[in-house]
Amino acid sequence: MDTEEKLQSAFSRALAIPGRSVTEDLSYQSIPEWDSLGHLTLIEEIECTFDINIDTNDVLALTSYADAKKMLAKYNIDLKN
Amino acid sequence: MGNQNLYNLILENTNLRYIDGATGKLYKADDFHDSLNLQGVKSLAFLYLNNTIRSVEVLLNFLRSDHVIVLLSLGIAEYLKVQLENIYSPGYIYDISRNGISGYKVSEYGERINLHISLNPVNYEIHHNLKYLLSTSGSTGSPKFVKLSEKNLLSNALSIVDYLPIQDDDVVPLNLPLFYSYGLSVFTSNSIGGGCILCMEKDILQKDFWNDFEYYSCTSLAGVPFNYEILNRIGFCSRNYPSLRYLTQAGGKLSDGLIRNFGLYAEQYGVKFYVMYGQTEAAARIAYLHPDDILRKTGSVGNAIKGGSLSLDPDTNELLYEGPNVFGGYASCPEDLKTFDTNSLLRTGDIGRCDEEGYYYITGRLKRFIKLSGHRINLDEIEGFLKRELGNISVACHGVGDKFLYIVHSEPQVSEECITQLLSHRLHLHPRTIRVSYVDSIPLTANGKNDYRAIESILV
Repeated sequence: MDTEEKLQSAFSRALAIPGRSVTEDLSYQSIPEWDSLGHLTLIEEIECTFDINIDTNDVLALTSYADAKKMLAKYNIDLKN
Repeated sequence: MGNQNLYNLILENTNLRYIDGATGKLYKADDFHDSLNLQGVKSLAFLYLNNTIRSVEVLLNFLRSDHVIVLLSLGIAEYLKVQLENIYSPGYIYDISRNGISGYKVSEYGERINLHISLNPVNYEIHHNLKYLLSTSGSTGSPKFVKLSEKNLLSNALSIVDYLPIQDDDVVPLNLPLFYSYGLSVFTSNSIGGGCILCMEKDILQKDFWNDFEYYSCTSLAGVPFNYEILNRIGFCSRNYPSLRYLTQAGGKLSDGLIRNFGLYAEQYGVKFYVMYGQTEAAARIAYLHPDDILRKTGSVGNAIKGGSLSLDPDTNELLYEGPNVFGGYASCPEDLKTFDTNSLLRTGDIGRCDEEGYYYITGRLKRFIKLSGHRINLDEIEGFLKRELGNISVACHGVGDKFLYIVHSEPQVSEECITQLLSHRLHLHPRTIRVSYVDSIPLTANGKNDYRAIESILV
């Protein structure tokens, strides 16, 4: 599984939505599943998946799937792998 | 209190301004005075509120009127809204999510507010003391409501003004839902005694919320335990908010560890942290712990608010509360609106203890409900819902802690996804909080009821 696939499946697990629903424009509160509880679950899921500690500022900054991809780069995780 | 009522006290608060968070415009309560021109015989008003300035305008208009205010979540699924409306036949409906409602005409007030008014108002008897109906559950659309009077709400709001350091130069964000008793109490107590109230839809997980918090120099923040978990995760305690004077917490038990974190934060920055206890059945507030005791009596709910008193049932240790804010009974159908109990004793359903210095602690719960992210979930109602939707299957709902809703069923043809989806799509429960287990048969007691003790032992 490449990095982007891993990220997609982390979203899918955390928000309990099908993988095909994880699209570029998926954002906080755009679906009922991505509410505040979903958000905290998602943060945890991404942390476990990539073995990183997400900084408190990034918890607020991560507001869309596209943001998550950008954020991973910041944690030195290459999306091309 | 005499002839005082909430609306008049709000009008008399000359320092009060409602800030429209979307535009930054300020409004006095008087600006909305009678703006909906409400008339007619006493009827029910179903108000599906969010926290915008429009919701506040609608609420103030109905506070002034004779109508009974029924506070509901905008997020209830539409078919459940319709079911509720068929049971109670409200005279008025405020719901921005629907353009038209069968049997109602739309009355427009400028470009701001659309109110649905019944074409064929149903006249039925409503007790003169009944002023509010508050839901006992978040978005499950249950027809069971807590009956409250003007006196209930007013006396509670005044008790809150008495113990919280509410000041006329405050700026308070409305960050808890207005339809929720705790959120409503933030609104009422600050409308009576406070300064500015920031009306907005943003939540504490959004950067914009914190931009506004700083821009408007907000002075307090209210939260249920889940909100404090979020605050903890976003590093709230590592920053100083110069305008912040106090924090309040209610809506369930916050872990001792988090009380300590926030207690230490409060001590460091000279902020007051209030851990409180209450129930919708008491128009919100029952007890609070004085902020000076937060580290010394961590985990305690303190003692009763002014005008009330706490005690323990000598046999069961159930926490009992007595005060002018105790509700007038439940309503599950229009027939129940005819009566309003005057009993001032509330059996809280919580088990408590009292230490040698008179501080109360909640140690358990008698009633069958759990709290998930601040919402009270009645386990029997969830069972009833699943039975209705899935053809009377054998099912038991149970909660362990306030983290998960456990569903145990014995129907091989019903899948886990089916139950999870039903609860998340129809009742808006988060799938992550639902745990479904299949068993060969659900343990029953001698008289054929679900044996929850045995069920718990399966789960743990």
